[in-house]
Amino acid sequence: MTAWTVTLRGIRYRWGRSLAVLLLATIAVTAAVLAPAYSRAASESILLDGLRTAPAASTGLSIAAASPASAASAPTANTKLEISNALMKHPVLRDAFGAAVSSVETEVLTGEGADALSARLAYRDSACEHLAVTGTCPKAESQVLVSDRTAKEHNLAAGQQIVVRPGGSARTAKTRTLTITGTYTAKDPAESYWGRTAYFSAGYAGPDGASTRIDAVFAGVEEDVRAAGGDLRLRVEQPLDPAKLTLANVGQARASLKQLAKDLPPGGLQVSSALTGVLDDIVVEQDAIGRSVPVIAIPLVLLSLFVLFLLVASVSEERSPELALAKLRGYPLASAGRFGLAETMLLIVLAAPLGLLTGVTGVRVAAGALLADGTQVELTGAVLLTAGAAVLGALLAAAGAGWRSLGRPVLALLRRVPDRAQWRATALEVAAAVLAAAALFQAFGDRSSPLALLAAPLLALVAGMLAARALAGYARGSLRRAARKGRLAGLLSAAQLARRPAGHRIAIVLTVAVALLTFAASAWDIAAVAREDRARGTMGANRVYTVDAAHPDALAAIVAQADPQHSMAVVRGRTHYAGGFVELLGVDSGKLAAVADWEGQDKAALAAKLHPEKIPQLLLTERVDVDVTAAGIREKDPKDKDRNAPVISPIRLVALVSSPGEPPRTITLGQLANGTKTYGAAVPGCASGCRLLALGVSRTPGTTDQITADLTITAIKGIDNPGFATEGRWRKLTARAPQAEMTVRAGQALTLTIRSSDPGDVLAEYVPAPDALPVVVAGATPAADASAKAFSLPALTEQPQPFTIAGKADGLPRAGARGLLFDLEYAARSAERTGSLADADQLRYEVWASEKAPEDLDKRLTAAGARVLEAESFDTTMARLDRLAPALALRLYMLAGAAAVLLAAGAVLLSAYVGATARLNELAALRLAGVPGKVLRRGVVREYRSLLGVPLLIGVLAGLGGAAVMLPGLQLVSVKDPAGLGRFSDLAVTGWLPVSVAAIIIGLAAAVLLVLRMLGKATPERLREGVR
Amino acid sequence: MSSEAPEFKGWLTSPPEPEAFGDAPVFAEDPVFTARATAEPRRPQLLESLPELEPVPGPAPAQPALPDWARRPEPPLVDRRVEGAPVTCRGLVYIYRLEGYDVVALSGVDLDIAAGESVALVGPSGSGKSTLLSLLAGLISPSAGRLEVGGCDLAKAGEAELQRLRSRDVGVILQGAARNLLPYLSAEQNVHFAQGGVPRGERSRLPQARELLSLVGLSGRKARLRPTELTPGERQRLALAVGVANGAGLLLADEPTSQLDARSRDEMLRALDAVNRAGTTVVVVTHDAEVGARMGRTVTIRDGRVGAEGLRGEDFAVIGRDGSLHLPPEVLDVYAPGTLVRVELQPDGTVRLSPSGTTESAGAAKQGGRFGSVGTDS
Repeated sequence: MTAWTVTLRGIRYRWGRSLAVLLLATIAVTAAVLAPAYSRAASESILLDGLRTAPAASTGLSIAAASPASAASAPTANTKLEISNALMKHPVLRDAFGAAVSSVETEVLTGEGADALSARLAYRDSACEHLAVTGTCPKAESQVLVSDRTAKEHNLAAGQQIVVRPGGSARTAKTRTLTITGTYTAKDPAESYWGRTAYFSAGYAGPDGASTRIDAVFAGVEEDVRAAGGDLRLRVEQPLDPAKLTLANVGQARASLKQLAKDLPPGGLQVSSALTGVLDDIVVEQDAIGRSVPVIAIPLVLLSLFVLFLLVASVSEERSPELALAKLRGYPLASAGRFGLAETMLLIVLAAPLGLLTGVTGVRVAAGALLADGTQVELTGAVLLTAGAAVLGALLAAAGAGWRSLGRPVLALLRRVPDRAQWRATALEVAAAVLAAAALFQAFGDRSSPLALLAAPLLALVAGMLAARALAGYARGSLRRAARKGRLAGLLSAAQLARRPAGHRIAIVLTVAVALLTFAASAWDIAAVAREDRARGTMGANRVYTVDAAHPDALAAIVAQADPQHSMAVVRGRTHYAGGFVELLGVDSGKLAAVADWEGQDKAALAAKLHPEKIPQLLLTERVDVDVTAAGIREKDPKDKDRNAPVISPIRLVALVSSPGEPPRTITLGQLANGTKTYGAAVPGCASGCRLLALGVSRTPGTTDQITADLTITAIKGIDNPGFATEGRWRKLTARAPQAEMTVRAGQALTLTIRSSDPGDVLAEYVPAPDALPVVVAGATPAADASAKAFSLPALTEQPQPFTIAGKADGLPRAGARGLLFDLEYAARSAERTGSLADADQLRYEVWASEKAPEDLDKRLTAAGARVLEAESFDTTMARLDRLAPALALRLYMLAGAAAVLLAAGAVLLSAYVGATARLNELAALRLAGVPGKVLRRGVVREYRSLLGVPLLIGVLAGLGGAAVMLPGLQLVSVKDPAGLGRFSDLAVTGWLPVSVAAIIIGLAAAVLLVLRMLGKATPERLREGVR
Repeated sequence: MSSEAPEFKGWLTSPPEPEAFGDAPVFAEDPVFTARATAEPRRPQLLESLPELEPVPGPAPAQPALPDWARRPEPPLVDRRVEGAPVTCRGLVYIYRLEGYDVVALSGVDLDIAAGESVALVGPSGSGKSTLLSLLAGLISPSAGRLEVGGCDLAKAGEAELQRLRSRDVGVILQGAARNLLPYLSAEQNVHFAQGGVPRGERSRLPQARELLSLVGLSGRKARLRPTELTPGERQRLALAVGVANGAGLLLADEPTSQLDARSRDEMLRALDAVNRAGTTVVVVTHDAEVGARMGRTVTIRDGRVGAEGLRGEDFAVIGRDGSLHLPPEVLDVYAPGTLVRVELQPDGTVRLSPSGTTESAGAAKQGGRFGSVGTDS
């Protein structure tokens, strides 16, 4: 017979306990393995998500000629070769970035005068593969493609020729005739192939301000672009393949990106990629998960080892007589130790591969369900090392637990009286309390420090120790009361609690586990609310499409065409104020309530404040005709032949009109003469509608004499309500003629009294918007006086815009904690009185859609003429936030909390099971002594009610206390987002917390039922020797 | 160990197959076993000076029908011999030190047990029998006095020496058979386990497990059974086999028959006898007077001392090294503790006890008839 035989037979004999040891050791190894495996997987998921959600144009590599001259001097092929050679030195970049796409482009003009069109004439590798071409793809010299949209709007077709000349800053007379071979529509304008180019935008003014921008014109050969003259821009773009960047090579990629610029040949090639910035953001999240996961896993590992320690100690205690036999037979200490610990050690060693497998499989399952697609879970050296460390820890815990028995003399082992080491327990408790206090102190300073992150588990441990002491005190008190009153059931239960050291340990384990799960569930619930708030705040609406529109009116028209009911045009901007940025949000107030996702606000009331009255616009089509009765106009008397009489220059009635997106222009309606007359003129380019901005008089250019006029404007043809009767609707446009005197009187007719020596036009402007735009302010008011009710700030244009505060809010939808929200229509009307919003390249155009908006809104927007640059939704945002570091860490925390409670429930069962023989014998003896079975049963129920109830209560309170202390300062959404802090008040009665507490109660009740069932076998017969 | 002891020959020169026992008697009076009968146990000095006493005839114990294995003659090939270990106690004291107070369990035990002797320790509960047994097993160390087992001074022995003692020289049977056995091992494996403490180099001298089991009547299929599958009597005999598995010269058995019926008890006693006849010194703690009577010598422990001795345990009071003498209970019924008595040695060698307050003659006349005189038998 070998020692193996004894060990294996012992394991089989104690199969229940052996299985428990195996399970606990497996859990310990699994928990340990989770830290590096999950941390790595989560980091990789964050990397993949970060790279995938970043715009392709940001993560791609773009190498462009720094100066147009150098680009013009080098053929594209040579440049590509040089770039390729430089990349060869950086294999990580070479693999990560896809095939190089080179392009050459230049600005060209075609057409003349008002019909002039500006376009990018571009050659791009394999462009036709990414375009839906009607006709043929240009392959030869002087062949080009124009967009379907351009062809339709400007009556172009395949077979026609266009003559182009250089545009932009290079103005030469050189022309080139190109033949249109077909028309195109980009298959996917947002695909990474197109990189950072802006080929597909049209409808606004070209770089010269006079021409109209059309979509890019694609040439079949590179030489056509070069031959067109003008400023050439050579660019080689390489889209990133996110799957090629892994945790293993991402650091190298960052270093290589910095080095690449130095490795390129001199000649003005410039490397640009936002990948480094994207990776920097990713690294912040990765660091956070790297810090959080061990902090979560370590308490679980320690708890597992502690429960393992308790179990092995109990098993060793139970095996004391066997150990005594070995020592009685003269086994040396080492041999007795081997005999005593071999079973446990063997099981722990067996648990290593099981734990490793379970941990890695668990992380793989989690990665498949929760992490980014393609996240790899690898068996790295760190994972193996951690598993080894966990096994070592388990072996040490087991050895420590067994050593106490091993060191006892034979008679003590035979008597099975456990040693009391009260001073050691007290010392450990004091140490834990000091550490918890230090962690708490640290937490109030910096909650992200590792010690601060351990505050919650340490508080749980201290609570556990308190629970154990409370339980002991309660038991002693109960014992005295029960003895005094002669209650047998109470006496038995209190006696059990008071004398069993296992009860003390169970109380600690259970309290810690319950506190951990309570804290984790609270954190998860609070974080879920914070994530949802953040997603709502980030999105502003259920879906948001970032589109390419020419100007706010164009956007409004697009939205009206695509979805007039459930979508809203939004124009966003940003202005700098007092060292920070103020986000600007122009919304369609009429749809704000229906579309915007803005919690805690009465959106309808706000909308009414933002758009208090409906002020009609004065819209013209093709002509403007005005009925005017003029008087006081100095006219030269034809009969007056006096040559020395002062010169009287004729004055003209003028109108100020604007086309959508264009700057205002002055239309002369005719020379004014006293008397009643209808003045009018055609308005070119206004077939789709122009706005009448002002009416007034204009002097003959070059004259300086005073002009006088008393005008009574009775009607504007085609406009039913010109607002003459409304006081203040018309007013002097001071900016044009600040020195002029003008009196504007409202009434049935608009009366203008003009006296001016100012050289400028004297105009009365129609005020289509409130003087001061009502605005909702989030954050500090951007004014010198923070308490001011009104202020001025450049908004949609660079001119200061007067605002009046209609409301305050903590944050604006999609604009964050500092910004202004105002009515887009009024803001655009105000802005367009002085300039064109088509030139405002700082504006971003978005379409916000409610849940009721059509699913194919993106297609509708494209069909309406907008290029959808980016589509976001609440769900995708939530999914993205769900995969950021805090959410990933909290998921693990929940898992760890649940595992801890399972461990604790297991420990409860094990403590009952391991000591079952002795307990059954005690109960059997009591039965034999005449104690009724139901009294014994009641005693057991009371015992477990106290043993589990006290730790449950204290654990829940400790978990909630930890959450109240820790969560308000923790960033629960994104580590980069200071707005994502948890609020304890967000803890709701629904969510995971009540579910967790209910599950704990049910689980513990089930454990008690099992114990009762087991102890039900305590019959007097079992006292006969040999009965097991 | 005594140097005069017979040469160690090993338990068995050629272990027989279980079948080889056949009908051969297990406890045959072979020369080796009978040699022990000539070895005189070391008696207390006082007794050595006295003539050998005839055993006091008592009621003959009922002899239950023996099982086949017990009736069989001992196998003729058994010639393995154990060197019995002598025991010497001089003024042995043991004090249990409890929280706040001490309890004197043994207060000066003087006892000599010769190698190969068979001794029963009897006495009331709490008298110190089991403490003495624990001291003899080296499980606890004496508080004072001298204790030698097989030449090893246990009072001075370190933990390593005690461990070696338990591994080779002393075998212990704990009260309750199951406490001596690992429940998950078979009978044979339990014997092997008990031999595990013996250093590897010395294991060749050990008896084979099956041989031992045959000796206690657990041969064949029963050797493969686990303790729970055996009857209580068989378990107790298995505990005996386990106790002597290390070839110990001293076997200490605590209440080996306490939970057995008469038949099983007799089987156990026969087995103990067989072990003793093989040379092993056997010390048994028992409350059973009949068991004591079946052992070669009975020592009564009373109040932590050797109170009396003899074949029936109460035949003789024993004068301690300090001159103290335990009086028999019937004397104590008359002379309560604290009574002042005069102790006088009489010319004829007897000792006279006279309570104070009585004249010598009156006292003698009054008490003499009742008590006579206290002295050594002549």
